[in-house]
Amino acid sequence: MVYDPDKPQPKDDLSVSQGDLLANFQGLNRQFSVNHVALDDTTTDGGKHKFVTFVQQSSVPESKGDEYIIFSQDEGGTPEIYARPESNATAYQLTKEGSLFTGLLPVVAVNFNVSGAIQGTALNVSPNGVTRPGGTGRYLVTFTTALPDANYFWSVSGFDGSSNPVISQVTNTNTYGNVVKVGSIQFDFKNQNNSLITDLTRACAICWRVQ
Amino acid sequence: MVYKPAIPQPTDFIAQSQKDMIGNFETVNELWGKEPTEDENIGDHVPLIDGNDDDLGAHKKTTLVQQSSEPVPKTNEIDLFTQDNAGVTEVYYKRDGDAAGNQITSLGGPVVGGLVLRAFVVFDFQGNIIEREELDEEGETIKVPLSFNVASVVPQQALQQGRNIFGDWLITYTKNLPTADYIWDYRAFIDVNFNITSGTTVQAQPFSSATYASSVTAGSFRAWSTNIARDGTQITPAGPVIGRLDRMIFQAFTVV
Repeated sequence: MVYDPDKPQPKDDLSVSQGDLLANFQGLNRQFSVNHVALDDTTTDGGKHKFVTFVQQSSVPESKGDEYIIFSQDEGGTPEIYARPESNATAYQLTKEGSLFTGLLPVVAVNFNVSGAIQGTALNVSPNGVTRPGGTGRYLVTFTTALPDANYFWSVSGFDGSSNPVISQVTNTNTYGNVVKVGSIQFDFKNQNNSLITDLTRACAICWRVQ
Repeated sequence: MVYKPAIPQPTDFIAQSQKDMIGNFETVNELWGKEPTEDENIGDHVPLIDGNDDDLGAHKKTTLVQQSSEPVPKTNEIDLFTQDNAGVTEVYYKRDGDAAGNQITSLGGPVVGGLVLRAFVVFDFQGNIIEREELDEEGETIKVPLSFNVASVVPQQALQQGRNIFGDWLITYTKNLPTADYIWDYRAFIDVNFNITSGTTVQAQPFSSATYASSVTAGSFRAWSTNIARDGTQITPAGPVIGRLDRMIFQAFTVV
């Protein structure tokens, strides 16, 4: 039953008002409990949220001074979360494609040792996803899920504990397109004499793409 | 007093109904949101009796009680909720059509694409954290340090004539990272006008005259820069850089 804010009326018979009042108290409890801990809940969670449902808005809501609004709008057919700072400042997008939105999305991240064994938790690289073709300082990182295109950003660094620098880069003895691919990327770790090292202790690599 | 959704009943006397109804109104008022003068932590909404009409109906905050199962958003809706993740309550969001919720927080940090930025800093050769100037709400110029979760950047080599001339620093985190197996990214730029060893390139990495476990820890990162000759010859000792590095950029990430 829909909540009726105009009940009871002054001339209503008490027997009628009883039903109206009962319906309103039940309706209030029912609607409040969609997103909140129910009003008749006996735990200490009263007044808190179970979750927050954002119904997609057709226009950007207005924010007053000292307010910050979180809301939902359509983004390519899917609702996403947006925020609008105080005083009707420009709204901006908070989520996209199942992630917080920063404009740049990490798509691969891995920390590995000399044998290619992954240290800690990797992003989009399976446990055997780092191989060492030739047994040298050359490592092939294969992605669990291929990226949409090969024009992604990458960063790589290495460490060998030898007191000497480890020069880390994408393999440069081949064309870019042959080492930076949608499904993998290949790195070389070299010493000052431009020779591949064989004692890499640890390396870190990250790839991003524009959201 | 517990809210009673099933009152008044047809057989209730008016005296009983009056007590029940005022009890419900008081409970709604309390759970909706208490005033700051009482306990503003109770209730998530602006109090029903708040004196500022413009704020009525708005939220003070949103407390998300951990859910045992994921909500199911309807068409054109998004649900924001919390669930347990290895003993920690984390925030998720789920769009209609999503097979599962998307985690957006992890151990106190925001998750972007499965990666959490745990620390970053931009600093100069003396270990000073670079600051950016911007205007605050009052139009006053304020300085914003270009760092996050970094307590200090301290030179690790003895000063020469009172100056730091070596590219060797200890970056100490304000709050330890969840693991020492994090992913780091460290870069350095040397000013050609102060490059004592000319014709070199700078390599930036963890301090290499030690084990990895002593250079990269959950609480700190020892950053080190070395000179690399551009003609293929080997510079001895390799590091640290002696010269004048203009800018060092460091970031540390963990994977969810």
